[in-house]
Amino acid sequence: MMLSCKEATQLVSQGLDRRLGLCERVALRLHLLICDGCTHFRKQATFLRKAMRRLAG
Amino acid sequence: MTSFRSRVEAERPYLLRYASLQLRDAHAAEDVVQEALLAALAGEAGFAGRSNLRTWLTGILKHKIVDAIRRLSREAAVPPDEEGLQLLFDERGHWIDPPREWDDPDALLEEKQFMAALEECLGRLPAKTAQVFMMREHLGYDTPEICKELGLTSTHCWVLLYRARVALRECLQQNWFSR
Repeated sequence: MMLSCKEATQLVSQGLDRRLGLCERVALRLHLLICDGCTHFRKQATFLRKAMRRLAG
Repeated sequence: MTSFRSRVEAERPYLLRYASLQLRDAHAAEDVVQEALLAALAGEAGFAGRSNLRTWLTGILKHKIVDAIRRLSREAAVPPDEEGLQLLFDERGHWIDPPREWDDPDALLEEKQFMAALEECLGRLPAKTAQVFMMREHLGYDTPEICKELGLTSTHCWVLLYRARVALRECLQQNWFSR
């Protein structure tokens, strides 16, 4: 089953908060292979995490 | 020689800004800062030997903030809304305007202006979304802990974290990367 970008970005986000299941990881990887938008989204979500840790305090 | 009290007091504006960013409520922020400062003054001995007063005070403040979030969350439950997402994805769930590459973002972490833009974007998130995101990404709590503290289901937590990431990304795209 092909993921939509909306579903793929939801999995990218959840992947930062829980361990994804095998099927989810495979489906996500397939989607990212062909989708630049979601690949950028993933990099940027990871970057946001880094930036938030740096926030004052 | 400056007294401990006045050194602590001098950090108040910083702490207020820090608390306001997370609680999104000026009164609640003032309350937690007041509580933290009182706790700090009462616990001066706990500071002895530590190098950085601000870091120590922020540590105390973080506990007060989490307590306050707990209290506030008992008062307000947030219904999920889909509106924002409908502007980003079409009816088949594809990007309307796919994210483009950000140029060397890691270098931005050293830029005060960029960090200010990030705070500005955080300030635009709905309160509950911002709280969950702050607990997760800034304070470093696990998702199950956050859900438990705030009385949310895991699914609801993930939805809020997802919305926060999408919204912050959009906001930075518009206010920083597309300038």
